[in-house]
Amino acid sequence: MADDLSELVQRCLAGEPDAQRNFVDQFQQRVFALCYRMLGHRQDAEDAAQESLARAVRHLGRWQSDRPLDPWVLAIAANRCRTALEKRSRRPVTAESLPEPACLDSRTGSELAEELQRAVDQLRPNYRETFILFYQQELSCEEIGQMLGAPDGTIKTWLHRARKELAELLRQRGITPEQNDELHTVARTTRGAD
Amino acid sequence: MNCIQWRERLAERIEQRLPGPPGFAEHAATCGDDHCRQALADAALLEALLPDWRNAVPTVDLTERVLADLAATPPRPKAIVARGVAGAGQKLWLTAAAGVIIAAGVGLLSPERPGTQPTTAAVPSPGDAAGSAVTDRSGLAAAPSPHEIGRRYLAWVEGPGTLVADAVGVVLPTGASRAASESRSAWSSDLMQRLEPAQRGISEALLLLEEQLPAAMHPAT
Ligand SMILES: [Zn+2]
Repeated sequence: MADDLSELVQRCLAGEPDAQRNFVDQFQQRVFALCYRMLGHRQDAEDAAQESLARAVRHLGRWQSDRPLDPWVLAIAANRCRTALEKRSRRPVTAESLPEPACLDSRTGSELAEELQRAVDQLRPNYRETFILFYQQELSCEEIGQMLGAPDGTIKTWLHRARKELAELLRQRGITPEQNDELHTVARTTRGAD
Repeated sequence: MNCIQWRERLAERIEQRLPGPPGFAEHAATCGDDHCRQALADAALLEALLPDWRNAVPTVDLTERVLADLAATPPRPKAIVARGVAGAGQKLWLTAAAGVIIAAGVGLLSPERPGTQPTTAAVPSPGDAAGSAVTDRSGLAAAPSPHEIGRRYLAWVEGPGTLVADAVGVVLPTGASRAASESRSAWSSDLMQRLEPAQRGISEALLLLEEQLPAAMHPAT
């Protein structure tokens, strides 16, 4: 697998279009998912993912082959998203970009997912990025630490603070295990499984 | 297991994505500590929402867009990339290295060298930040070695370099918290790692230059 990846990288560097297509196919959904979760906007996420993937292919020669490729590619996308978020924070907030009020009476799974995303968007950048990399990209704390240039212990702290703040924000929106049948069931299941 | 130990184990379990051992959650129902109950409620809430959140990402096909982007600006030639030329820090060091090599070349290989004319090389001394010329009237025997020239140049750029590093330090996380301190130390360690290849490159370039010098001009002779 590692050899296949190294070969793919070599072929990309040699400018083989098939290899580049293969590389993009392999990484695009993960890169897009990261951008989508970090930016919370489909069009912006597509643009960021496109630029990140092209940048990754162009700079594959900088990847150290003794390290995993996924975090390296994702780090490029995370950087691109951070830049986009900084630019966005300098723009005035318009009515369009404000979240719609949640319908608390008839929440489906996807509506609850939106609620969680709105809460994620409110986290400070380090917490948000750590949470997304851990739960969306399923990277370990060690891998996230290498990506963000922070020790494991710091990443764990950020992860737990992110979780705590998210739970608090969700409670403020009226979403609690006690008040939602579906969640209540899951909470009971979790206890039962333990 | 007391409440603190229980919450630590819950945190470890979350970090490692592991289920708790049998009966683990019962502690929160029986210990009477609000922190434990809250920790378990938070965990249950997020565990319930995370699967939908993870899956609610649209599927995209960006392949043609990325390939068109790449066709417009193709990857860098491998030979350049393979040398690992990267980053603003490295570029700064490589610029300094180029300066050293050019200065050494001008200073030591100049046709004016052989004894009859004063040797003028653009080598600043450590205290000579303006970089004015150093005139050496003593001829070949006193010619500084490429290493000496390099050392003086590095001493010369050290002052501004320190100022730049201090300025960058201003934008790093401040405060006495453990996280801020760890972040600062991670940054400086990362910077040193990035600069290391460039410093090695300068050393190698100077050694190469020494090898290329005529034997009579070699500092060891
Ligand atoms: Zn307890």
